[in-house]
Amino acid sequence: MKSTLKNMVLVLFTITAVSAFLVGVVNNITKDTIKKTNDDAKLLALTEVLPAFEGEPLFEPDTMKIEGAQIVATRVSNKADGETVGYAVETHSLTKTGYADKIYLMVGFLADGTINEIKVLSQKETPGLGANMVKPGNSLEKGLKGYKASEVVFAVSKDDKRSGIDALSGATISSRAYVDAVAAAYAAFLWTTGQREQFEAVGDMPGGAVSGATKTTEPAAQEGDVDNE
Amino acid sequence: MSKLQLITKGIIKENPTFVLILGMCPTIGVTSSAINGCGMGVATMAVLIMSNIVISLIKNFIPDKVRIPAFIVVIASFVTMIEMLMQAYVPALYESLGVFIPLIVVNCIILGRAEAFASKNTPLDSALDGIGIGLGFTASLTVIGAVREVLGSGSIFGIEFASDVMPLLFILAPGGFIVLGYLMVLFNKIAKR
Repeated sequence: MKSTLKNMVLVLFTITAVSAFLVGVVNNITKDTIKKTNDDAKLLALTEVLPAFEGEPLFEPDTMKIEGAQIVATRVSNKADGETVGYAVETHSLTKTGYADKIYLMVGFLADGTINEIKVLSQKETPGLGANMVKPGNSLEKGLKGYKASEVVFAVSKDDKRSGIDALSGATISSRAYVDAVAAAYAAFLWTTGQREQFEAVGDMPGGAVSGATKTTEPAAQEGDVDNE
Repeated sequence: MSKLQLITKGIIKENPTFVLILGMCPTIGVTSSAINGCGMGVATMAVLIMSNIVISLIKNFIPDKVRIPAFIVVIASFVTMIEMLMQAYVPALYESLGVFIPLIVVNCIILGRAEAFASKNTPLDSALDGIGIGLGFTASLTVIGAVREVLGSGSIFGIEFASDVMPLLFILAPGGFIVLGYLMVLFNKIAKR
């Protein structure tokens, strides 16, 4: 078809208008379902990292800022008797990002601070290397799961000899970020359960995973990275 | 050209990856495992078939000078709609393909077929061309992904058999180029017979 200013403007306008309308229609149809799917997935992740129990769960989220990052610690309790099942903390790596991007985790703590389960929510690490963190029973999980968080040195064993957490083979950067995210989750757990003194202490840990964790948006006074390179 | 030939030519004679050398960016980017390659191929095929049909239907109303922007708007709209529909109704698939879906807009196979085929042929032929090229792209990506996954991480479609001994190189981009190059030679040697 021959191009004139009039038909070019008219045709492009029509095509963009029709496309915009159709995209809008589809958005309207799908947006509620998408929101519901996302919420369901999040609730499922919340319960998956905590031990199973009979009855309806009750969720009490507590949103906080640690070094400017938003972390949500959710107290999960049994609706029937109000007994705490545990705390599920949605966290991500703070000072150390992964090889490609931040690493998002859901960490489940029992009421006494034992790390019950860790689930990777999203990561963009290299397949075959850092992405191995999603595999059940990997070396990071082995070093953290079932341990009392207060007794864990939040660093990979390569950086701190006292730590029992071995990095994934060939993926030290991803492993550091993972451990960092779990440390942030522990800080959030301490804060939400009101254990302020220990909360301060997490920042002074040898691994320095969460450096100077504070409940403000201000940047941390000092970066506690002790990389041995 | 018979209707069947329209489909088969996309798989062998005009294979988008090995013969037309189109869409190299997603080819290197997503083929670190067989399942990723396969998923990207299928999503691209869905967009390609629909955009081919629509562009073939509206080709007579589009002035020549603005045809490229017109095609891109149509393609981008389809990709956006497919992304939303997948997110809503097949969240598991969306989860594994999430990052690749917006990439389909800039895949030159789709614009290439719109320009070279759909804007000159009937809607039915364009749909068949979309199926053929789409199948060819899916098959190529799956094969490249499978080879890289076997050589690099010692697994196939996620099933591990020798995960710790394989050279990592093949998972990373340089390995992707090496595998692509050798497969291209092999494919053309076989196809030319």
